[in-house]
Amino acid sequence: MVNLVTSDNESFTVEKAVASRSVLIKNMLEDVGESDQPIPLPNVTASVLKKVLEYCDHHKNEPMPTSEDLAAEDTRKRTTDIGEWDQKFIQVDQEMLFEIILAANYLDIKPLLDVGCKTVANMIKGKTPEEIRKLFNIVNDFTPEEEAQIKKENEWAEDR
Amino acid sequence: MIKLPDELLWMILSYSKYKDLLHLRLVCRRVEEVLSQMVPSTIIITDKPRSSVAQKIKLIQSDLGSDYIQSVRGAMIIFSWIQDLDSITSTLLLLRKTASLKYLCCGCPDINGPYYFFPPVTPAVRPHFLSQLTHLDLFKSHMALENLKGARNLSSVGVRRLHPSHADLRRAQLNSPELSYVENLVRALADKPIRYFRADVEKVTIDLVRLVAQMLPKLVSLVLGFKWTTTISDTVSPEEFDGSLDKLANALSPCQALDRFCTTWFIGRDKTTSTPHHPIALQWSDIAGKPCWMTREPWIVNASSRLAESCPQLSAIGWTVLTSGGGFLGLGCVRDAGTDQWRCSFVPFDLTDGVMAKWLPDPMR
Repeated sequence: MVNLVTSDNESFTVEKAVASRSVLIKNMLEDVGESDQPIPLPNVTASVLKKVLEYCDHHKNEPMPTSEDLAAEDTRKRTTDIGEWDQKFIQVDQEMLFEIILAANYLDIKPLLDVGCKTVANMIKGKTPEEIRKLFNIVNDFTPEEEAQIKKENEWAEDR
Repeated sequence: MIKLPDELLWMILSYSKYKDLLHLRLVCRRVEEVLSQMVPSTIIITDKPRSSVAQKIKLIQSDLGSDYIQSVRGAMIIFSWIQDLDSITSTLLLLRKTASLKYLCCGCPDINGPYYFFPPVTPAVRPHFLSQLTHLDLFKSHMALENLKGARNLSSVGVRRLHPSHADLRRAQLNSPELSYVENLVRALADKPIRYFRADVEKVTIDLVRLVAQMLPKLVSLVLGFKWTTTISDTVSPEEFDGSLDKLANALSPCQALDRFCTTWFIGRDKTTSTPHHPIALQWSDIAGKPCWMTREPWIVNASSRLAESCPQLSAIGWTVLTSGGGFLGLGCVRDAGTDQWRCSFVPFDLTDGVMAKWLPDPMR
C-alpha cells in the first residue's frame, strides 16, 4: 500500500497498482524503494485527489500507455471520443474539471489528462467565440481593430 | 480554462479542426497568443536532411484520415538543396489527399537552391487534383501543367525565380525552357478565373505580354519580370523595350480591369534621342507622408499615362530605368486618384506585394 498526503494535509492509503497509474508516483516509488514514508503531493487537494484516485482505481488493470502509443497520439490522428465510464466520471463542475486536468498533468496520468482535455474540447466544439467566452467566463480583451485584423487574416481560409 | 498553462490550453485547442482553430483566435488575447505560438497555419515540409523530410511526410500521411489534415487550407513545401524526387512524389501523394487545400507555396526560396519539377499525377487523379486551390506560388520550381487541369478555382498564380541568377548558372541554362514554360502555363490557366499573375522571367517579350493579356483578360495585377527590391536588383539585367510604347499598350489592352502592372522592361529611351535618358530631374517630395525622390520627367509620366489609356483602371505601374552610373532602378508610378496625375518615385516599391502579400496570408506565419 502507498500513503499519499495532499496539499491540505489529508492522507490517502491506496494500492500500489492504483497509485502507480501516476508516472510521477511510480517513479518516486521506484526511486525510494520499499518504504512506509508518505508521499507528499503539494499541488493536489484532497477533493481532487479523491476523484483522481477513483479514476486510477477503475483503470488499474489496464496496460500503461507505451511510448509508441504516445508517439501515435502526436500524429494528431486523434478523436474526441471518450469511453462511457470516463464520460460519467468527468461529469463534474468546471472548476473541478480544470483541477483534474491540472492534477493529471502534475501527476503525469496521460489517459486522464486526455479525458479532461477532450471533455473541454467537446465543450468548445461548434461554438462561436462569443459562446465560448460566455461558457468559460472569458473577457474579450481585443480592441475592435485587433479583432478586425484577425478576421482579415482568417479570410483566406473561408469558403468563398 | 484560460488559467491553464500554455501547454494544457494548447492540448485542449489542438483537438479542434484547423478552421475552428482560426476562429478560436478571436476568443481572447491569451488564446490568440497560444495559437500563434503553436498552431501551424500551413503544413510545412522543410528543407532539413532527407530523413527528417521523410519523417515529416510520413507523419502527415498518417494524418490523412483525420479531421485535422482534411481541413488544412494552406501548405508551404520547401525542398532542400539536394533534389529528392521521392519527397516530391510523396508530396504529390499528400496533396492528392488534402482535398481542401486552397493555398500552396512550394519550391526552394534560396536563390542558389535547386530547381524542382513536380511530376504529373495520374490521369485518373487529375480532374480532382488541387480542385479547391485558389493560390499557387512556385519558387524555382515547375509544376507539371497537367496537374492544374482540375484546379478550376485558381485566381492567383506566381512563378518566382525560375531562372538562375549567376552567370555560370546562366551559361549552363542557356537552353532553359523558362519562357516556354511560362507561355504554356499561361495557356493552361486560360480557363480559370485568374486575377493575379506573376512570372519572374528574365526576358519579357512583347509576345509574352500579348499572350498573357489575351489568355488572362480578367487580370487585376500583373507582374512580368521582377519585384524590385535591393536584394534582387543585381540579379537581372533589364531588357530594353524594343518597340514603341503603343505596342505595349495595345498588347495589354484586353485587360480592362488591370489595376497594377509591373515589369522589368527598360523604358529609359524615347524616340527623340539615340542615347538613354537618365532620370536626373529629381526633386525631394512626399508620398503618403514618406519623403522620397520624385521625378517629373515627361517621358516617364507620359509612358504611364499612355498605358492607362489602354487599361483605364491602372493605378500603379512599376517600370525600370537606367541610372547615370549605368545601373538600373525600379521606379514606381502611382496615379493620384484626385488629380488623375501620375507621380513617379524611387521609394521602395511595393506594387507587386499586391499579388502575394496584400491578397494572401503570410505563408510563414
